[in-house]
Amino acid sequence: MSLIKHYIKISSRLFLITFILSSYLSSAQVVNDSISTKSLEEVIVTGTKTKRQLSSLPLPAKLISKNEIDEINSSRLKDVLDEQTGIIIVPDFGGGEGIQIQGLDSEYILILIDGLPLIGRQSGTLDLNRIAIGNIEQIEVINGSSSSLYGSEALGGVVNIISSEIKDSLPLNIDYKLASYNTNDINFSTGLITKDGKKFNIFVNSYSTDGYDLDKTDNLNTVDPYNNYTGFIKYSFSKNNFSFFSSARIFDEKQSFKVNENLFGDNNTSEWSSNSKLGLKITDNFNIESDIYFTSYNAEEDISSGGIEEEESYFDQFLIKSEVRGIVDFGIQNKFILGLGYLDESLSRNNFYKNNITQSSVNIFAQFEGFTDKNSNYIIGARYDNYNNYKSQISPRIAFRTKIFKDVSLKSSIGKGFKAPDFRQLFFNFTNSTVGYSVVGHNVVIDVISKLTENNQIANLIVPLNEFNQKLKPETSLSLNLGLNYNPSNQLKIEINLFRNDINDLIDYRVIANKINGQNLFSYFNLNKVYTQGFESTFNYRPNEKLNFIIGYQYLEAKDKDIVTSINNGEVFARKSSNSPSFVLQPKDYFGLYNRSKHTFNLKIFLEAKNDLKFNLRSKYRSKYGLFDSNGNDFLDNYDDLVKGYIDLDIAASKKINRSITINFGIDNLLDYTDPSNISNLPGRILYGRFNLKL
Amino acid sequence: MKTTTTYKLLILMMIFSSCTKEDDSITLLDVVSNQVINLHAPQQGGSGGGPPTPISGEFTKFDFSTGSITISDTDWDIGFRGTTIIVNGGVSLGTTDEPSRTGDAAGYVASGTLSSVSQVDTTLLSQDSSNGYAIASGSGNGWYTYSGPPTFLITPTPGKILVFRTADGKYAKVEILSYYKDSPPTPDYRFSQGRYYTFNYIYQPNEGVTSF
Repeated sequence: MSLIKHYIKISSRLFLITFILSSYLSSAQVVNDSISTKSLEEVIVTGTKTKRQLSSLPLPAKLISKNEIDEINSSRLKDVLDEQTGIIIVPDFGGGEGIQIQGLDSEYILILIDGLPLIGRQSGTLDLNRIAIGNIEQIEVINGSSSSLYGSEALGGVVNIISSEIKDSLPLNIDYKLASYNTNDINFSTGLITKDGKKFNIFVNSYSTDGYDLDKTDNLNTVDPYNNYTGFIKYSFSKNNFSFFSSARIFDEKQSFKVNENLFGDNNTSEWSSNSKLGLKITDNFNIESDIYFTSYNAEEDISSGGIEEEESYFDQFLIKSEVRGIVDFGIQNKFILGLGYLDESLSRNNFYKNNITQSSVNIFAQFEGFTDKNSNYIIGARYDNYNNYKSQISPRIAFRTKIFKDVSLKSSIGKGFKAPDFRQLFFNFTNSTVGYSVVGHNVVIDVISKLTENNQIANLIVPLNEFNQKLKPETSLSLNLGLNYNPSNQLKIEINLFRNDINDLIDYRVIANKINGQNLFSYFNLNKVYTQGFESTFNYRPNEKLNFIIGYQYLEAKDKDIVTSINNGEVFARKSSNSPSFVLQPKDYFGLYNRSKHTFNLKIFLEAKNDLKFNLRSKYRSKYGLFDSNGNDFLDNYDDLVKGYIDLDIAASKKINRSITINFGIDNLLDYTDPSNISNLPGRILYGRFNLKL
Repeated sequence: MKTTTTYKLLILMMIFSSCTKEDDSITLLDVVSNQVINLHAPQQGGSGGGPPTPISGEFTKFDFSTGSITISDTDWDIGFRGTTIIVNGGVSLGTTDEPSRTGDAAGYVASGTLSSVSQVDTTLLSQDSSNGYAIASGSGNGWYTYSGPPTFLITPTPGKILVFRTADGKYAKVEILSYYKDSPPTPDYRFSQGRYYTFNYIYQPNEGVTSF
């Protein structure tokens, strides 16, 4: 506990300084209220950490409005993201659902709420089912590396969930959705605006489901029943040159599950976070902002047999993050931002060599947003992250946008991204109890092996131990984007974005020793070099206010460079099935990385009919992909058992009864497509009704 | 165990060379090409439910010259127990029930297809030792890859050809096709019975001839 107190003290310091300074200045200075510019232009903050017009942002970005979230009747964050071009929701073997952007996995995508990161990546994936979305203003997505602003994990993209702010006093929003599998989703929100402008709002969500079973033969559920609660409170006020914002979020989930006839388990996840932000206008063109953020994620799993506990696992993570930013405005739209940040993280979990692991890092970043003329603008920025456990990182980014014709603009960006090794890759110490293999983190290999050698457990060493004196390097990427926007009128918008990500030093495990039980001992290394490339395009036609028609398509190639080289050299073999002789694999038969579909396609139609009736149809196609190698060469080729491509089709209708009441009906997965062994996150057809009351 | 044997003709070049050479008194024996189906290689202990215990159990021994399994303590070339393959040459690793080596067998793992590995590289041959086997054990080291979750399958690694010197100094090459009974095209760990080898082999019965 004293350690935590110490961290709180350090990270609070930056925050306190700004707080004292701002209170002092706000009382000392009286300047006119800032002019609030109301514009229809969509505004996004995630790309630059400053408020920006979406249309002039030189980065590939997406904005999902409250309206869209509402119309598709989604309950969780994954429902919304799943329908966006270029975003694929991928089930994890652990049961969670992660996100894939530009062919990069959930581990390489940062998920933020009001600009601050969610934690609790138990096996790398951040489960999007955790996030209720009844209190969201908009969701912002930036594709490609944003490490120049956000540091680690922002290789493939950043998803930022912006919570909503109340507009009038005492609003009341009650929302109830009942869906197949006895799924109940209840949302409640209200708030208050005081006379002196203080805003307070609260949001509560309760979600419960009976789960579902896709495979009736095995006596087990695909998803066991679970329920969760989310609470969110937000407080904000601004006075003169001073603004303050504070929020707290809690989440609790419980699930009981069955492992087999005799083994039963209980899962409990609880999470809380608290976020405070101060803003201070020093002069008309100089602002200071400061955040302090605490978050904790605890997961516990007990497996027992006839009341006797068999296995217990836990995962307790804690993070403190604070940041101070100075923002200077030049001329009309040029901006300079300088930030200083501090991060402290601790984790204790089972199967770790040490009980409690801590790490702190400091960072500094700077960014300039400039306009060369009315039609061209650019961003230059870089961030430096200093770590105590591994090599420090510098992540620069340059982005440029120009209007080449009246209705055509070109965007281009290049940036470095990185992901620091996670604690599992450094400190894991795990032995599989049924098979007997072991996985050991890079930093503890020497200690673990010497103990095992003393006990005569090691048959022979394959990798010399002195290789582990070298620290594991962060995974790094170079991210390139080139986009073209064609916007001839308000009715038609066509966007295309080409991307390429080259990732180096990808961390993977390999055998380092044989144990006397004939099994292997694995550890993590910087091994692979991969690339992902392709393009994403969206066609949006909106002939009038009542019809909106969207088509999106992504083409993706994701490959391991070393495998490509070996195949080209004729050194790689494959088998047609797992009982036939091998042959030399041809380059065209390399399928690429696991879980990547070459083609994804979506179509969305939103229609507003008479009498406040609305309809929509949304569909998504994902082409075939592979989940595991089935012919023994350890990667995917065209002879492996691949998961078939499929279409997920959803329809919905809503009717506004009066000013306050809206009812909705819909069917998700209308075609009732399921694939029990491969697509665990796609239940059969789901019918639902939803009632919404707004006062 | 079922054995099907087909005898191949002498390699054309051999006939040709033997005809032109002066002493064509030595007639070479035919190279043997064969498939072994469902060689059962049980083991006790090790993996499979509960904490791992030391592996034990008799090895199933195979003799290339007869093309069948044997219980002889001396006339065997290679032995199978679970995923482990031993040769009748060198010294025992010392596991329970491991037979002592009486012959001069050796082996290595070559990369290629069964037909493309046509020459024995005798410099690569090694024998079993107290540090490890000639055919390294463990997933990815020797002849197989273990998939882990969620499929939990032992799959022969494509392009891995096991090259052996037999106990009496002849050569053979082996390609393992399946580890499951009746070599199903898509095994399922829940139903398929493991520790049943199906493999193709080519045996060169002529002393000192290192090509197949």
